[in-house]
Amino acid sequence: MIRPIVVLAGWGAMLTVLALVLLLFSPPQYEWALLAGAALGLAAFGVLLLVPASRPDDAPRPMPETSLPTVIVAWGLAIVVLGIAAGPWLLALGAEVVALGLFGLIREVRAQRKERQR
Amino acid sequence: MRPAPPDTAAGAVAAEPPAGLLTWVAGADHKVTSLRTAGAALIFFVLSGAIALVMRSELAQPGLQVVSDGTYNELFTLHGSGMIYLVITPLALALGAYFVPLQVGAPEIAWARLALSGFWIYVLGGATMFAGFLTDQGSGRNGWAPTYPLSGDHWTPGIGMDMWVLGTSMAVIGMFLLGVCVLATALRERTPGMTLLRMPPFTWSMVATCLMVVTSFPVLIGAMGLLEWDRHVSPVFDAAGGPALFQHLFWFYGHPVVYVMFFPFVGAVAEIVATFSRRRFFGYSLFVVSMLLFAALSMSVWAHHMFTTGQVENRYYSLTSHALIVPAGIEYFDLIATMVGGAILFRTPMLFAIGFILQFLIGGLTGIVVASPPIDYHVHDSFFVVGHFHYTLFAGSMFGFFAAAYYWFPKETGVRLREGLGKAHFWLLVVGTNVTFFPMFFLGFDGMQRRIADYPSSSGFGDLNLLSTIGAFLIAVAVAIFLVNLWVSLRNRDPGGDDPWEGQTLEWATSSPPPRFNFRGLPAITSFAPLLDRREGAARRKGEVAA
Repeated sequence: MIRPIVVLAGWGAMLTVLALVLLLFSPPQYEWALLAGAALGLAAFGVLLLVPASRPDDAPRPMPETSLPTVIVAWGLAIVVLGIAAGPWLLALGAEVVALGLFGLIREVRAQRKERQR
Repeated sequence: MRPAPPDTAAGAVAAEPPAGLLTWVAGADHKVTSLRTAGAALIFFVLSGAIALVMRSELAQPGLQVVSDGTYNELFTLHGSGMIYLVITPLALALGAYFVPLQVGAPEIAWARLALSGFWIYVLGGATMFAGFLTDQGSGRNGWAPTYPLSGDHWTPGIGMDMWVLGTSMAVIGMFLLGVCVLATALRERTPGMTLLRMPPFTWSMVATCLMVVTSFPVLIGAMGLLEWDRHVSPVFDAAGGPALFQHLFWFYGHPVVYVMFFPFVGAVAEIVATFSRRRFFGYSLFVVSMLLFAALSMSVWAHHMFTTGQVENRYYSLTSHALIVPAGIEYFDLIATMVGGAILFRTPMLFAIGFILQFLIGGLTGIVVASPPIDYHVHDSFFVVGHFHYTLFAGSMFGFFAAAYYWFPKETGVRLREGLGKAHFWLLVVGTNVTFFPMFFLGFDGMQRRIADYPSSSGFGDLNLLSTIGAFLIAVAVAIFLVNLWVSLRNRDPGGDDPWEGQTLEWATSSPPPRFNFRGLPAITSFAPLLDRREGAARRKGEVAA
């Protein structure tokens, strides 16, 4: 049986081979670094896969129907990004919205965990 | 039937979600996230399509009749950006967000909150991009693929361009998050028995797609960050080789994203072709390998967009670009071989699937033309290239999307789309698409540049441009028929049942639309087509009893 990590490793190996072939043509360093970097980026994703699955087969998982704090965090991040163009006042406002959303998110996750323990 | 995974059988999770505004704003169900994303993408599709009609009206005859040069620059920028960042990429990933969890038997998408935040960041990015029109100096006006130094603060000043850069970044971040969730779902949320080599072709196409998303999208986000830094803090790209570096960073995203925009539809078409040919998909293992190879190769061809800069190794990028023919050929072979000997039903999804296969071929073949540096030198930045990528992304991807929409609409809503309207939509779209985009090959080969609002009347480009404009309005009528079909079908409901097409994959084993956590029970998973296995098993048993 093929494991997910094999898919990532196999695909990363394909990128590595292509980067090595590119090296034969003596390109500027950043060209092959982009390809090789992509292969390395996969490793980061592979680490995420190693985190234990959130859905263990033997335990029910109460999941939220809605998550308003997540939406607030997303809006806050968007405001922060817009603040880059509009000025520090919007950056600060966005940061406050993100903080508010994160606070709600922590509460939501804790409530979810408590329900799971029950 | 096997018992459902424990969490899907739990009473708490079997409850229906609360309906209403809160669900649409903050619902964490992957199906709601997907439908929200697709809905937003369709709104951006109408906006970007309307922009295309204005552009085509301007180009219908020589002279400036409708818009100024400057406004035309904004229009082609927002048309291309809208379609790529806000329409086709989100539609492709939304399809994965809806159906990958269903096809692998998962009750939910992995990291549902991340997917939800991805939607909002994307949609706010799109709104930011379009809001640039409201600023004093107008919106971004460097095309969907900006070049440096044109996109720098000196040549394109104004907050509208900043809003384009930031809006693009947000849209890409949003889709990156959604892609990560889809990939994680396929790789780690599969139900027991659903091994990797039992995942359906569509899910594999999403795996290949999302591998490109996780490796290429961050590069664009970085490039846009650096561009914004360059515009307002200190120069980044104005050193020797800087403009080329910016192009490398951009195209390292810009080429794979083309594959992100059609891989999911290749997967969807594979499912549709198998279902409507009443056959098991041919050459499954080879298809999977070719998808992964195709995706890897697509990461290595980016600088073929820079052949004419004289600053890249043309031989390598031409070699890898031509190598793409191999996996593409395998996929085409598999699709055609699945149909051969099948009892083909020409329902609307199948018509769009065949339309995808035939028209995408034109996009692919003209891709080989521009993969050759000597020819690319001739047609670079001409309407030939415009024709090529519209055959890939409109005649290909959008036909694939419509095929998927007609195929999976009954699963998403419980009702079928009208067959008569669907066929009218298809035939009008075929005519409109080819009348619009085929003349562009001749225009480009004869020297008509892209991104121009006007051309000399002595150039002889007028007739073909008029033809192309007529085709664009035919496309608009065809899309209007699709929207009417959505409206009529949802108003006067024709129930489709749980499995109206005799589908082969797990999504057809649950109700239409599926419950909150997708399944109340799952059939035995014995291959990538478990429902076909079940039907064949039943037919065998019936035959044995009769014998």
